[in-house]
Amino acid sequence: MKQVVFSLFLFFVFRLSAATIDTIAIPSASMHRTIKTVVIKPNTYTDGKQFPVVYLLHGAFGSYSNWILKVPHIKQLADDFQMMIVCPDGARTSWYFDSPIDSSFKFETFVGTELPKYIDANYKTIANRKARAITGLSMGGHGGIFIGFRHADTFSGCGSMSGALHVTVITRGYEVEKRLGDTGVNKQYWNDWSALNVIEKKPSDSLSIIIDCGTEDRVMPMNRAIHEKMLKLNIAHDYTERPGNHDWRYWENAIDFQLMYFNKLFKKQVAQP
Amino acid sequence: MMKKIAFCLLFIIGSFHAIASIDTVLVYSKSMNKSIKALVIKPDTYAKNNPIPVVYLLHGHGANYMQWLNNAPSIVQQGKEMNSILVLPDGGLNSWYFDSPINSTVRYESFIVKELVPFIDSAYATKTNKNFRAIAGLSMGGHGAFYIAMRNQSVFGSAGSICGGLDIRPFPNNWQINQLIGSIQEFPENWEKYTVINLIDSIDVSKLNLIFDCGLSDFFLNVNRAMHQKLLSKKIPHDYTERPGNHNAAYWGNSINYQLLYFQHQFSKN
Repeated sequence: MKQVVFSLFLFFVFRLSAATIDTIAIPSASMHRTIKTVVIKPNTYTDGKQFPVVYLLHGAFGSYSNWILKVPHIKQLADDFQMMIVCPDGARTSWYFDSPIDSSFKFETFVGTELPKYIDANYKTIANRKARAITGLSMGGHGGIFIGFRHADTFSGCGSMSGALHVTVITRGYEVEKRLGDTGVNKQYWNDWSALNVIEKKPSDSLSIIIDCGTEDRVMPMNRAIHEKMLKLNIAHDYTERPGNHDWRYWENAIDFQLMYFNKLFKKQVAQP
Repeated sequence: MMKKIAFCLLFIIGSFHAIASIDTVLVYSKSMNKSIKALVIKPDTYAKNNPIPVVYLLHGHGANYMQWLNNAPSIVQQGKEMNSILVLPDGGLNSWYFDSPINSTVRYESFIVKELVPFIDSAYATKTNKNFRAIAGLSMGGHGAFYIAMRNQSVFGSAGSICGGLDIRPFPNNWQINQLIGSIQEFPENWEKYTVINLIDSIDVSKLNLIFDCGLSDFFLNVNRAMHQKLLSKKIPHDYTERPGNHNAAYWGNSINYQLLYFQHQFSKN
């Protein structure tokens, strides 16, 4: 009996020291509303330390709670790598754009500017681009590259898993047209805001990039295209092809490698106290 | 000089003391009639009554059994985190891990498969099912890991190659390969038979967990790309990565962390 009590005690101690999760509503000044966000804090969060942050984006028709519900072991990864993970809502199909036709969609501004500011102000972060990265799956992979390249003053690392990296050709079924408008009238946005083309403008800040995709995935051609283009443009990046489709089985595996990559980046860039 | 090396070695090994213990073992090879050194890195939680998986790590051309520990010291910590034993055998300066058809003193495939693995399984508490045994290596060792795993799939369930020479045919005059399988002019059939990229024509490797990668500035990039394309066209599952980097310790020390993570996933599936 004594032994049981002791084990139980250990169990609770262990539980208490595991990562904790806040689900909060973060005000967006640009959109005049709040955006729900999951914030994962590592087990040592209360020890007076500061932590690097990975911003982790969901896919089309998903929400802020997707990652934590579908891949609960990201809590363990937050502990293992001593990092925070922040999963904002992307309004199902915002594509993480500031819509030129709908002023209620300012998700580039929110995710790229307002959100990191809020997180830095309210959490114990290392408030420095060297300790910030952004990645995501599918639409969120697009968001990771799109926002990473356009906000390299905020993020030093960006990634994509199974990214829908060429929105120019996603003209129906995924509500890109609701954000970018008519493909003829707004041709410039459809072209310039595709991640595949965003990379042509190399940011002045250094950016570490990791991209992966499953070999059975329909978006594979877009990923091969961006890999080829980055090679041609001499943009350093890690690129992986592995078995898998456009599903959580793929992402629950891929996220381990992506967070290992960002952890290495943070360790290299940020002196440990 | 010698004293200094010994001291450094002690220091390196000493600094890992809290997370792992490292044995230097001498394994007798009957097939080559000599004893061969290997490092065995055990997590500090290792216990005789608790068998754990094993990853074999093969070194590159011109190096020895110390190369992995010297070039990638982070493997000690990671071995602990993934609760596995790491075994770093000596593969000779230029064996390419072959049983040489023209030099009977080179029997490194036999050594690894028939002598080293049984020795490790008898001397340590290991999970002896192939699903808990992986083999990986760099350069010559990347070739060796794939060559050995593909030909011995009852022993190894997973294999990794880090900027491996996965096709040796473009390099007929390099690294003394011709001393092992003959010159390409005299023994063209050996060069077809002993190159990894051709093994997948005659051996079904679809059940093997394969991971390989190469640096974008590496002289082996093209043979790795060719291997990736050939596996894709045969619909054989594999993880393949290209990343910045050259044929050097900085690249290997980074890559091995991802490959060990991959093996950890494979072990935990079973």
